[in-house]
Amino acid sequence: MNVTEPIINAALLGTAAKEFIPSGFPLPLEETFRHIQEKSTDPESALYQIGALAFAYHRAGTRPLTGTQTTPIKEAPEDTTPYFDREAGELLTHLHANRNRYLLLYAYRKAIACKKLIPPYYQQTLISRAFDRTNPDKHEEQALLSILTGNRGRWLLCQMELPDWGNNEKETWETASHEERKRMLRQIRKENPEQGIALLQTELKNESAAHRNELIQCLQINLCKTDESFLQDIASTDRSNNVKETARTLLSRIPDSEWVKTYCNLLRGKLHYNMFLGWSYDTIDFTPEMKQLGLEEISPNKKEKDKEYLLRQLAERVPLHFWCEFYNCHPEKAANKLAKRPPFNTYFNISKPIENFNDNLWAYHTLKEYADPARILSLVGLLTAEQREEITLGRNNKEFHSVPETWFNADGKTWGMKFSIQVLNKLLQSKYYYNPTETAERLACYLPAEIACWLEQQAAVPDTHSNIANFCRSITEYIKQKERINILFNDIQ
Amino acid sequence: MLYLQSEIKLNRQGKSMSLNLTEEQIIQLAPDAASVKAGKSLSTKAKWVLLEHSDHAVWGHCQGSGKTPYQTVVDIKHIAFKCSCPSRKFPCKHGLGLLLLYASQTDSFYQTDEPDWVAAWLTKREEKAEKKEQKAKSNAPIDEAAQAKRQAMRHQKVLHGIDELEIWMKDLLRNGLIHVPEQAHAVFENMARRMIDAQASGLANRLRALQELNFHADNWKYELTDQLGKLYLLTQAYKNLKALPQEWQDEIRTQIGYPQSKEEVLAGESITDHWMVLHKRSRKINELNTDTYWMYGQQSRRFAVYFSFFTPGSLPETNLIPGNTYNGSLCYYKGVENQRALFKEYPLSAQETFTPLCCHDLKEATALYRSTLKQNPFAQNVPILVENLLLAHNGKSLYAQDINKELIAIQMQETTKIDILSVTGGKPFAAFFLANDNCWELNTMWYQSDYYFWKDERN
Repeated sequence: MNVTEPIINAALLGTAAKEFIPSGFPLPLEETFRHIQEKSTDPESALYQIGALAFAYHRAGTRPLTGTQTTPIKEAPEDTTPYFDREAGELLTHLHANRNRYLLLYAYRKAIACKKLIPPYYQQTLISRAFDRTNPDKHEEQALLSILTGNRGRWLLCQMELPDWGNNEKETWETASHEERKRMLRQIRKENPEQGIALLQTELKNESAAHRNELIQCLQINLCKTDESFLQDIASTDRSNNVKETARTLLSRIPDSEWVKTYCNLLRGKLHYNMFLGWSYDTIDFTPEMKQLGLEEISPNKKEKDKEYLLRQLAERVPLHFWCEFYNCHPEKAANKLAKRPPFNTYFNISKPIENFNDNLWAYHTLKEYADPARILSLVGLLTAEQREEITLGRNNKEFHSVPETWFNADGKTWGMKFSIQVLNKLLQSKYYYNPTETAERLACYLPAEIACWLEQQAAVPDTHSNIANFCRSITEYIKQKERINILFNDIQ
Repeated sequence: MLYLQSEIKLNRQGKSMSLNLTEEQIIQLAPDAASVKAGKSLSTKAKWVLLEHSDHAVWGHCQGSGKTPYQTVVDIKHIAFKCSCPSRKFPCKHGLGLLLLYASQTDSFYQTDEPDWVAAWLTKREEKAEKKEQKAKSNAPIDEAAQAKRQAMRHQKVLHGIDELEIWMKDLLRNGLIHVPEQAHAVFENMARRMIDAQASGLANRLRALQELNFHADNWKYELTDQLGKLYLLTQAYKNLKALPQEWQDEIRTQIGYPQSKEEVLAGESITDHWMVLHKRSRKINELNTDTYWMYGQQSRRFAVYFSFFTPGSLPETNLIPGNTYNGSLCYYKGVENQRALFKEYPLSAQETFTPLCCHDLKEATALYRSTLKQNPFAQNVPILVENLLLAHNGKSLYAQDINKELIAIQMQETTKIDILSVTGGKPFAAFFLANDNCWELNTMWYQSDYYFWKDERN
């Protein structure tokens, strides 16, 4: 029996309410209780003494439990892949503790190449971070950690009551949430674009219009000619206008699609260029077919003629090979000519078709010919690290407040020295001095190590504003950390 | 968060400085977390218009929002701060920032003679210290008659206090303990103050511990009845003090709140051994920072508890690192199996660490627990080391399971469980427990002879 329970109950009720009569206790204990009661001056004194004795008796019987139904925690499966040294784990957890999200991702990417695993002791912290709902990089971190933590990580996920990494797309597509499906589709499109279309064809019609729209938007990853028939089908048969519009937009981004060919055919022969007289345009009537192609009849700009507006819309939707045919020259020359003297005066936005077709070569030749601030902001992101070295970003730096998101190339390749200095000059000369440390950290992931000296010089210039000096020092510190990551994760560079 | 011993070592070695203070130790000086954050933000050169140091002090001018910069000085020999800022916090963020900066970038400080304002402050401090030293040295002969008179008076005071406490306790029980949770604060605090007046601080602490019970937890009834029973037993024991053997007299007097002087303890027999720090607990008790260290002797196989008290803004006399082993002589306090001890000599020399000898299974561990309580029923937080343990659970209840598949309920947070699993991968490990009635608290573990611990700080 539990010897403490009757005493606790008696104490809770109070001696004034009910007298404590010991019964049902083990015999020696009961006898001692009675003896205490006889000797005590009052019932309270007796109960306190009885309590002290009963609890001591209870403690004297402390033994390990047997027969309690418990579930033992199974052992983690062994990993055949070797683990990194502790130093690597310490570095990763240090980056996590200091909230260095960009350097942490950089380190993960480097670590993947080493074909080793994060030591078990450090895995838990990093996994928790990867599943933190407020972490903006959670999906990418999860994908990287699924490789870097091995079997132990997968086992730990189960113990932490977290969902599995979700590598089995085929098995889980049926049960996955919409967000998960989008993520899976993006991943499949990166690896095998055609498989993505096959996956979409299965259940797309059962989805809501908003979900269909979002899923189709995922097709812009590795968009190619083979997607055309599927998108054509959606553009003509889908129940939602929004979905149709998304499909049309995607079709217009495939340079050799029928859709784009129609634009080219409509525009062909309507533009004329003379070296002395400049541009002249034929008129074209607006037809219902054009409306279906997503063209507008009336220009929102009152100063622009509607006929020219129609032609400008078409000109902004044709790929570079149309202009090669127009100028009758090779792509480089055509891009140069168009950049130098574009049609429709200032209304023509050359960045629009370049961005639309994601045409790296077109962007490069355009910026090489003339890099005006608007073009720089939108097109530099399309260039490779080598191409960026050959362009001049211009001198108007006052309005350059932050590095555009697209400039941070997804491949993570280090920028060249010239481009890096140009970007930093733009930031340092901006009329806004405030540069967050997060920008410094992100830039450090892309800047070459050799730039550290240049940054130190900038920080040491007399009369430099303290914010600028601090910003330069922050970048230098982060570059040092990056170098440590490179050394620890066996960087060959 | 789980810490690996080697990490701590690395931290100490990596960030050691001319100041001989780690960053962590400087942070410990801060009055609160906000000051740490603010101090860290000021630990950059850009924030300071003047940074200088001498052999004795570090000082600087920190540009605040006003026109005149704040003058901050830190005595680096006997850590102390002074700042001209209006902050009521001590040390202020400027002092902390300056010390952190000096710790990390000593080269940024220009060595020079102390300016007048620094020299004046240092001289004043030295004068004060000298006065204190002289006062301590003046060994006036002890008036034994007066001392005995004082002790008799105190004994009477304690007895009066105990009489009042007894009446109060009986009233409490007569009315029933069921009403206690709703008035816990007032009930215990008033009586605890009375016990302070009666010079029975040990009883006051026990009453305050009752006040701190979690009355929302299921086992409050058990805890309350048990602790009140022990308290009553203690009062009765003090009343019959003369009838008890000497060691029990010492034990009861200590439990009541009679201090044992440092000299008295150090005059006792000492045990020289390699003492491994098993666990460190930091608490702020009565505005005093209290570090409790549980230690284990390699040869003596004895446990020891060492308390370090220090005021906020000052550094502890001894800062032992969990997992490290120190060679030294410990003198135990008088009492029944008393584990509280003092180091005879300082500084302690660090030794190569070892893995302590653990109980082989839970049967052996519980036997040890029982024997400790048999010797001293007032014992709390019984230190126990057990090896070959696995974790098991039943719903939300966690258990340690030994090789015989026997279990003991353990108390720890969910994150601690995951920490253990992340290190062990579900394989057997050894652990250090602080055993109490209903639950054993797991604080430290060994896996493949690596020592891991969790920080146990609450202020």
